[in-house]
Amino acid sequence: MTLDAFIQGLVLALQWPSFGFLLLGIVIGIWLGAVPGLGGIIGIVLVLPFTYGMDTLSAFAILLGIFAVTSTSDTIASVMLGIPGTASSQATVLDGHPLARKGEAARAFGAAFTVSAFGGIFGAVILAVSLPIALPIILRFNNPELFSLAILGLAMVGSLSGKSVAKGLAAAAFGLLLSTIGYAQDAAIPRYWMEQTYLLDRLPLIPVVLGLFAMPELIDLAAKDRTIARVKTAQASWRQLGQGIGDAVRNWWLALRCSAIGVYIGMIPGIGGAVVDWIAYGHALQSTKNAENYGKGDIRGVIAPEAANNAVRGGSLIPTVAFGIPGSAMNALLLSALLIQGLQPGKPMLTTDLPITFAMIWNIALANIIAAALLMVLANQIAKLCFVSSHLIVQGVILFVFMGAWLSLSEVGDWVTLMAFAAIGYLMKLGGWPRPPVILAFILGSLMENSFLLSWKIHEGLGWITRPIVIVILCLVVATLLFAIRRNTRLSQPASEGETVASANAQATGEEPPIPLASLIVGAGFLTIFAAALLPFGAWPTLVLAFPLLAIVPGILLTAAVLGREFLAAPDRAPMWQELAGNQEVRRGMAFLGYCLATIGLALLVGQKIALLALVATYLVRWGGYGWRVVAPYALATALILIGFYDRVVHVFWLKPILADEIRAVIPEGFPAWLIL
Amino acid sequence: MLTRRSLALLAAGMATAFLPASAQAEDYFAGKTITWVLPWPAGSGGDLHGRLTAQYMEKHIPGNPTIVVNNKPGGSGIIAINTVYEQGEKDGTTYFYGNWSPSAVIDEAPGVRYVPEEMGVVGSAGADLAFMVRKDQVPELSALADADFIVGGRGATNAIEVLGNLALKTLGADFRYVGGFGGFSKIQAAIKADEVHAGHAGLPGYVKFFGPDSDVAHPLYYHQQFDLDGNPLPKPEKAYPADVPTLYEAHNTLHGEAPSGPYWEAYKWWHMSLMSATTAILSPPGVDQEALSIMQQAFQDVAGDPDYLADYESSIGVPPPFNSTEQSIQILQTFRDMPSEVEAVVKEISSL
Repeated sequence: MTLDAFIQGLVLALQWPSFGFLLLGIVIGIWLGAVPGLGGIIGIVLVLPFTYGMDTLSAFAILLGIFAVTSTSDTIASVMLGIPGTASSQATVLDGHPLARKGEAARAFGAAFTVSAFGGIFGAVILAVSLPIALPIILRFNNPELFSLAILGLAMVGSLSGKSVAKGLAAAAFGLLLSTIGYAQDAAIPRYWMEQTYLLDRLPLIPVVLGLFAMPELIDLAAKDRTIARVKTAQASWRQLGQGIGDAVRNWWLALRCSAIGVYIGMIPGIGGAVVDWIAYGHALQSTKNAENYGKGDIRGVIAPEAANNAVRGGSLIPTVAFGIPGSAMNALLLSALLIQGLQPGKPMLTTDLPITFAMIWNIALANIIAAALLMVLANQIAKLCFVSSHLIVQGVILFVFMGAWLSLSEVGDWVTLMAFAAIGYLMKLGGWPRPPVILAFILGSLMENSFLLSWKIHEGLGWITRPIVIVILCLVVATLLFAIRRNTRLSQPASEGETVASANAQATGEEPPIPLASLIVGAGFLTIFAAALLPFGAWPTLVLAFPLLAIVPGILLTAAVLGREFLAAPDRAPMWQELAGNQEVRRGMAFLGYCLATIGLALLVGQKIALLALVATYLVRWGGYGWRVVAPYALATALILIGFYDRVVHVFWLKPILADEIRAVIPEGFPAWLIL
Repeated sequence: MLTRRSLALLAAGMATAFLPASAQAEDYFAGKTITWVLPWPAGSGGDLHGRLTAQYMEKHIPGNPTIVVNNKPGGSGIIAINTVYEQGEKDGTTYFYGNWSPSAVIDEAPGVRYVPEEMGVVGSAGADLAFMVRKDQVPELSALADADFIVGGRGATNAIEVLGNLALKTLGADFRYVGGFGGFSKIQAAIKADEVHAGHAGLPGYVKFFGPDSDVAHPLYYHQQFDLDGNPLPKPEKAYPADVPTLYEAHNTLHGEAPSGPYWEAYKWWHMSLMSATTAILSPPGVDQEALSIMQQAFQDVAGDPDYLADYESSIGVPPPFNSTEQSIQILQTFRDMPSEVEAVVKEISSL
C-alpha cells in the first residue's frame, strides 16, 4: 500500500497544472532566498490567500516550491557578499565568501547547489521513511532537551567560528544579552527598553543580521573600490563549476552525514533552522582531516552546512504533517494551508491521505533538483559579478538591505538598529571579532531562557539535568569546547604547517589582519555594555534577572581576559591610534556610513522612496564616478523595485515623512502620491 | 461608572450606527485605498483572519475600495495600535485590526499611549475558549475533583489565562500553573509530550491542534458567551462536540449546584467586559463619522455573509462570536469599570 501511495504521489506531483505551480513556486523561492532580508515566509504569506480557491495539489505545489528552495538560493548572498541570505545559511559564509574572494565563487556554487539538491532529496526520502517512527523522537525533545541543544549550538558557533575561543564565547554572551531586550519571559516586565515601544518585544532579527553582516561587507566594498574577487582575472567558470560538483561528489560521505544531521535536527520543533548549519559545520571540522583551511575557503565548509540546511526542510515537515506540531513560522503557514485544504494533520495524512503526503514529498524532492539545475545554469553569470566594480554591486544590494530591515516592524527603529549594528559589525570585522556567535546567541537566547525557565518550573528545580538525552548533549558540548581549544592551540603554534597554509590562504583571500585598536574598542564597548546591563537589576525579581546575569557574568570575564591579553600583547601602543585613524579605507568606510545616515535623515523629511533613489544616484555619481548612462538605468530599476515590488506587491507600510503635506500640496492633481511617498 | 465623555462618545457612536443606509454616501470609498494595520506578524493565525476579513470587507463597502493589510508586530501589539491612534488618517482610510489589550490599558502597561475610548469602533468579536486536558490525566469531568495536574499557560497575567484560571478556581480544581509558554502552539506541543497536562485553548487552536478525534486530549468544558445583560448565549454550532458542557453546567455536574462566590463573579465580569471583544477594528480618534458608519455597516454585513463564514470555517476554524455595533461600542467604553472585589480576585489569580 505504501509503495502504491509512493508511486501515486509521483504521478500526482507531475500532473498539470500542479507541476506548473511547482515551477512557479521554485522561481519565486529562488528570488526570495537570493535577496537578503526577504526569505520564504514572506513568499508563503503572499501566496497563501491565492491558494484558497486552488485544488489541493496545486496549492501545495506552489507553497512547497517556495518552501524547499529558499535555502538553496540563499547561498548566492552568502558566497558573493558574505551576507547570510537567511538564518540557515550563516555557516556557509565562513568558507563560501573567502572562495569568492579567491575568484572561485563558481566552484562554491557548484558544490553548494549539488549538495543542496542532494540534501533536499535525502531529507524528502527520510521524511518518507521516518513518518512512522518519528513521534517518539519528537516527543522526547521537551524543554530540557531543547535548552541543552541550544547550548550545543552556541558552543559550536562560539568556539569554531573564529581564531579565539574566548572572543567567540564573549561574542555569544553579547548576543545572549541582546536577546533579553524586551518583555521578560516570566513576567510583564520589559528589560532594557529605554522607554522605546520599539524595544518592548525583542529586537527584530533581520535589521540585526543585515547590520552585522551585510553592512560591513558593503562598507568594505565601497571603501576599497575594487571587485569582490581579490584576483584580477576571471578563471574559466564552467571548469570551476565542474570542479565544485566534483568536490561535492568526492565528499559524498560528508554530505550524507550532514544531510542526516539536517533531517533529524529539523524534526525537533523550534530549533532546527537556526542551529543546523552550525552543527553540521562543527561536525565537518571535527570529523575531517587537514582542517587548517576551514574559515579560509575550504570547500568542505560549504558542503556541510548546505547539505544540512536543505535536508532540514524535509525533517521539519515531519512533525507538521504527522502530528500537527509546526516547528517554525514557515511550517505553521504550511499547517494552515493543510487546514485550508480540508486536510487534518496526523493519522489521516499517514493513511487515507498518504498519496497526498507522498505528492508533497515528491514536490520537495523535485523542487530541490530543479532549483539546483536552474541555479547551476545561472551560477556562471552570478559568479562573474565577482569581477564587476564594487560600486555597481553596492548600490544593487544596499536597496534590499534598507528595505529588508524596514520590512521587520516598519518603524524608524528598524533603520536605527540597522545602522547601530552596522557600526558594531564593522568594528568587529576590523578587530577580528567573530560575528556569527552574536547572531546565533541572539536567535537562541529567548528559546534558551524560555526552555530553561519552563524546565525549572515544570520539574521544580534542576532535576531535569540527569535526563539521558540532556546528559548526552552536554557531553557533546564539553567535547566541542575541548576540541576547539586543542585546535586553536595547535594553529597558534609558530611555524606549524597549519599556519603556513593558513597564511598562504589568507593572502589569497585578501583577508586582512585585525587592527588591534579596533579589537580593543569592541572589547571595551562590550565590557561597558555588560556592566551597564547590571544597573536595572535592583528593580527586577530573580527569574527576570537570572538569564541576563547568565550572559553578563561570563561576558565580563571573557571580555576582560581578551582585553588583558591583547593590551599586554601590543608591542608598541603609541601607533595604534594612527593605524586606525590614518587608515584611508576606514575613513572611506565611515564616510559611507555617513551617506547611509544622511539617507535616513532625508527619508524622515521627504520619504523613503525619494531618499533611497537619491542614495543610489548620489553614490554612483560621487563614489563611482559614473555618468548618466549608468546612473539613469540604475535609478529607474531602483524606482521600479521600490514602487513595483515593495509598494504594489508587498504593500510596505511606508514612513510618513515630516514634509508629507507640503509634498502633497505641490503634486499636480491626479498624480498618484504613492509613486513618491 | 460611565464618564460624561464616554457617554457622549457612546451616544455619538450609537447615533451613527443607526444612520439609514441612504444617508451614507455610496461613493465615499470608491477608488480609495484603506489600510488595515495588524499587530501580528505576516502568516500568523491572526494575520490570516485579518486578511480574510479585509477581503470580504472590500466586497461589502460601497464603492469597493482596496484594503491593504500591513503587519506591524512588536511591542506586544502596542506599536500597531499606537500607530493608528497617533498617525492614522482621519478620512476613514486607516484602521487597526487586532487585539486591543484592555488589561494592558487598565494596568497602564509600558508603552501604551492609545486611549481606546477615544477611537472609533467599527466592530468587534469575542473568542470562544475551552479547557483542554489530557485524557489519561482527566478522562472525564467527574475525575476533575480528584485530579492533580499541571496547566501550561501563556503567563498568569494574560487575559485568556486569567479567565481560564478563574474558571478552574470556580470549579475548585487542584492544579499547578506553569506560565511562560508563548502561545497555544507551544502549550499543545507540551500537552502532547506530556510535559504539562492541560491548557486554555482558543477555538482555532483546539480545531487546529486537536479536534474532536484526538487520542491525546479533549475539551472538558467551554466558556459560554453572554449577551449585554449577562444572559448566556447558545453554544456556537460545530464548535465543540455535543457532550462538552459549559462551565456553568460543569459546576452543576460536579457540585450539584450553580456556581457562585467571588471567583464566579470575577469570571463573569472578566468574560463579559474584557473577553467578549478581544478582537476589534478601530479607527483613529476624530475620524470622519460618515466613513465610520459605512465601515460599521459593512462589518455587520461581513459577519452575516454565509460565504465569509464558510471561508472562515474552512481556512481558520469556527468563526468567533461577532458583536453588534452597539455592543462593541459599549464594551470599548466601559471596560475600565472593574469592581474592587473583582480587582482583588484578579490580582490573586494573576500571581499564580
